[in-house]
Amino acid sequence: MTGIKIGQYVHGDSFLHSLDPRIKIICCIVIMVSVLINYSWYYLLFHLLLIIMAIKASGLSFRFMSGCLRSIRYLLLVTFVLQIFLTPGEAVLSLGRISISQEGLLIASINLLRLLILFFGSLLLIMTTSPIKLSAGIEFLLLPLNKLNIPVHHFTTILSISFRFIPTLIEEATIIKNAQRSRGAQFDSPNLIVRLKSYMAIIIPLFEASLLRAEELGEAMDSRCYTGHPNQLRMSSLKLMGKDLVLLGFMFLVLGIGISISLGSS
Amino acid sequence: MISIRNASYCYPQGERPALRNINLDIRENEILGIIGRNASGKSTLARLLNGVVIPSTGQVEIDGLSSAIPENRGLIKQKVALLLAEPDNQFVSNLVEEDVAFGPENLGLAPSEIRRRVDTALQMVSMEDYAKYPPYLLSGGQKQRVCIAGLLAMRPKYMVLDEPTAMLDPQGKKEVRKILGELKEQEGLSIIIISHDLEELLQADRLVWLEQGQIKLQDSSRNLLARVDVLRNAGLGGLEISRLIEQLNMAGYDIPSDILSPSELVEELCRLR
Repeated sequence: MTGIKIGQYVHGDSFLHSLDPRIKIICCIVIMVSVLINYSWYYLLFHLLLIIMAIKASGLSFRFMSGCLRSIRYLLLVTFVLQIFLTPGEAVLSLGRISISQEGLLIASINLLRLLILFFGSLLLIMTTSPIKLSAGIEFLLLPLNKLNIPVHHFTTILSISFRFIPTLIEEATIIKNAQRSRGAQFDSPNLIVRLKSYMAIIIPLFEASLLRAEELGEAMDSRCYTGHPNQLRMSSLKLMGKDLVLLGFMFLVLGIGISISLGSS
Repeated sequence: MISIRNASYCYPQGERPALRNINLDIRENEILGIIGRNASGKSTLARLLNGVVIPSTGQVEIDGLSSAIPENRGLIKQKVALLLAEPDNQFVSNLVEEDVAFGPENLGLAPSEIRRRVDTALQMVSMEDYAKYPPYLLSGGQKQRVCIAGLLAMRPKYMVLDEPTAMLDPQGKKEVRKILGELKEQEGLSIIIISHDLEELLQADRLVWLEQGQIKLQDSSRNLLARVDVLRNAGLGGLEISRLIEQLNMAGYDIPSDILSPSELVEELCRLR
């Protein structure tokens, strides 16, 4: 299958694909909490190793996954640069009034590592779980909120449809961008204001097209008997297996170790 | 049978009615074509048939179920499937089989029955090999076939197709037309096609011409498609073969105007010699 886009579900029969979506979501949250509460290099590198193993177990290519980093390269760069220059501490390199501190380098590297783990962790979740299964998993985990009259089913339907429409809107944005460029929009102008104005010429028609699409989608869903009421009978029902529970136990063990390391160091 | 009696409809912000005094019967196992200029009320009529739009006055009955009664609307939508022009706006999932399963899931069927219906529907449109594909990797024709499968999985009796090939390339149009012919022959479905494409309407048994929200004319497709003057008025221009016959007759030949296929025309021309 060629033409896979970043963040879109890729069907497969791998170990990661076969896991219950609820477990994958919980594991993803556990990883997020673990890496955010802990500064230990070893602990973070261990998580990076886990992510690499998970990529291997997902059947997705390392080349494709590393290519996805392009989409967050500016975020990584800005985070890294700001951390190394703005963290006070013992200077290792000075360029006039600006200096790079040892602590800044350490914190910037740790945060870079954290961002990588969070990015790949969430990417693996959404690329190995179909939108319908993902929303079924989220719906199950948020079920208690129903008691507070929060419309969980509506929220998860919106979420899964948003995932579904990402490639369509990207394609639409590209078409509009090319159309506006052919009409003189200057997306590469050195003048920031001109560039911003050019991008506005994409956003407005894209927004309008999205509303039209939403209207038609609503009509199509209505025609297919969608009523907005939760329906627990899906083609692939959620089923917990032994491997799901083993993985969940392992991730909580990792979290427990992380918390004890964090408490020990503070 | 779908029966429309004296139905009129005006959109909430509309200045004049989109449909006026429509009387129409749609029989079982029939292909009905609806033609007309833009804004003549064709799409509103399509939505009237499956209960998405309820007539302001008059009545629409589907197998005896009135669309005016809210309790009937679920069953009506199950019986009368609606296909829109743009396949991309009809997908709810990023996986073909999950999308096809959306309708049966909404009907509250058992998972094993949903699976059976999805597999059968995908086989009916020859898309079973693409069950695990995301729709964005399919061609326009394949996408529309998946949308048709999504409707077939609900086991409808009538299918309303609102310009089903408008967004497709010639190959995609060919694929969808082939499927529609098969559905009528093999599944006994009634198909209502709204189209500006006369080649597509050749499959129809009967045509209805809508003009400013009213039925101006209805006749067998053979009779109506041969009338280039009517088709011009309906903004469709006429079939290429009918235009050719018109030119030949103007040049002094006497060829029957109801010929719609090249082979029939060749036969007629050979007879002239």
